[in-house]
Amino acid sequence: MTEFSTKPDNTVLRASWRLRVKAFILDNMLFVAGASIFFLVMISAILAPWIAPHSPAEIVMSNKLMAPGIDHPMGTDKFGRDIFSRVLFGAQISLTVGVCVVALAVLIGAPIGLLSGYFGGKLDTALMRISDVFLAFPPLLLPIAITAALGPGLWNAMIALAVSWFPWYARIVRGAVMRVRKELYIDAARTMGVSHLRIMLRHVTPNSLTPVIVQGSMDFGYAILAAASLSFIGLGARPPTIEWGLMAAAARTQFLDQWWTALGPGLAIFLTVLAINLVGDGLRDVLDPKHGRRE
Amino acid sequence: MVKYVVQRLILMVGVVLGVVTITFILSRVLPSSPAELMLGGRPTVEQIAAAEAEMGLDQPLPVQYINYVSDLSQGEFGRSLRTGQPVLSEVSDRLGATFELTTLAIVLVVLVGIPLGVLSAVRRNSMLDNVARAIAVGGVAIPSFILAMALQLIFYGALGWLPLQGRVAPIVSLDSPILPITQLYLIDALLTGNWDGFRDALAHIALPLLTLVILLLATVTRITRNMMVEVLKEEYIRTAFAYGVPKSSIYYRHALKATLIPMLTVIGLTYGNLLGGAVIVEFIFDWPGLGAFVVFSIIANDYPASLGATLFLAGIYLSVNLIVDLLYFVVDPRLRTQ
Repeated sequence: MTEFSTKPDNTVLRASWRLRVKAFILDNMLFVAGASIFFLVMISAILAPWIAPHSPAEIVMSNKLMAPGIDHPMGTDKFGRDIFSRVLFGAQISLTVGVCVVALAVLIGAPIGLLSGYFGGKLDTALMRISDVFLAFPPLLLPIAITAALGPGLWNAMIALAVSWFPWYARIVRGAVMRVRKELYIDAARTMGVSHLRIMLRHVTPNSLTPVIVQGSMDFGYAILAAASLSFIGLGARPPTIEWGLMAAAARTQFLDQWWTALGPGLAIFLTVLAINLVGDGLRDVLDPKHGRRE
Repeated sequence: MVKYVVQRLILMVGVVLGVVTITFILSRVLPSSPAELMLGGRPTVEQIAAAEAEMGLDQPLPVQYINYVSDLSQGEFGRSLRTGQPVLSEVSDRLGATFELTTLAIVLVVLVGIPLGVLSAVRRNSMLDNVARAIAVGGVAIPSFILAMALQLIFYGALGWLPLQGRVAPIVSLDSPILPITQLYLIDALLTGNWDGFRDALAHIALPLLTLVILLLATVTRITRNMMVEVLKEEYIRTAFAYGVPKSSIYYRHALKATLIPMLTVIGLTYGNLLGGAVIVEFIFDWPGLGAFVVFSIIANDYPASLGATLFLAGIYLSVNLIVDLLYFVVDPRLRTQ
């Protein structure tokens, strides 16, 4: 081998790869921190049945309202249940709620936005005016009213949140569709006899995916917050479902003396939503060129 | 301009009709029949039918809808199932409490949030900016009810400085009652020179107010900062610097002015968030406003009351946004000539 070897120098490559990871982590500390916390929450939700130190539902009156200690890291509630175990199981519900609300909102909003933006004209005006009405309520008030009408329950709360938030997705998709609709390749596809449906699904939809992902990642966290709020006032999850908002509501009667009863679920909601928001911010920086890097 | 205002008003009528339509639909999808709810207990089938006929519920839905809209337009919001009182009077009794709380909150948020945002933008990437960013990211992740409970724990439980909940202490309403003039207790107490009443009302409003302000301050600060950063890049700002215009004059007179229009929009939206947030916050602090009324009415299955209050809150929100839209003309003279 001469010194002009064409063989790539692996040590340099490996070092640069390691450097790049390091640089990425340094540049995106918040994103990495958020992603790590979120990963942890997800793992605890999935592994809750195996890693929870106690049964989340077992009532042990002799253990009631114990302060945090080695056996009960977050203390126990008024029924002697281990709060840490309940927080782990609560992650299952909250993450599911977040995913379901965003998915439902996209499922309702995206087709409306697609039709509205693609066909324009009177259909567009009508659909958008109807969507606007849903935004005329102060946030959280419409979900509360809808859940009240449907009857309290986690499913109804999720439906209510999705119905209240779909206009945002309708607007986003509509905007994206209107941008690509006038492109030459869409006209070309039409001339070649491609059906409206196929154009919308194959050529227009992929173009609106990015803003929907960005908005969805932010709403994921807000959905968890809003659902917990609904549960807190008695409209969302009902016992014996283990849900963070419900745990905080139960803590209301004794949190002034036993502060830890509210701390566990409160911390869980805060950290989860914070992590999701940090990841969402990072996603927006990467995916949305217009938004650009923060300065 | 007149044309725009007229258009805006027509649009508003449409939205209001839409909002009313939604509450009508909500009042008809209730799992139990409204007549059954009104009668309470275990009514017979005949009793339910009689009540339905009396309430007009045996009419076809379109007729019911027209009746509903025409009732509302005459200020007829129905009667509360719980108290039997007209919903309109129940709601207007509580309007003052919500108005006092949310208006003070928006004023504080604007007074603190905007200067903080400007400072953040001017000293970009400074310690202050980073702290403000951390608060902004963390602030939106705090559940309102946890924040409220934490404040209760600190200021009532640990320090004992402020009352736990309510709007005025029972002892104060006996000894030196606040005479209702405007329904805004702080102002009423001042107007009548009732110092004990004023101090007590102030102590009671402090915690719910603080909760709402903390919840929304972060967002307003952040948005102000980002808008200011954009404006400060403009050429006329650089020119002003070159001419030696004093810095404070550049920041607060020239740059901040350019952010007024988007700022107004943000304030309008923030007010909506306040009204929504007030539902939870009033509930926790037992603040006798519209938000808590909505929740308690829902718990009591009192749907005319909860939907009536919902309509009112939506109405306030719509009016605020209408005012914001009209303020654009005041703020931006260019719009007036168009």
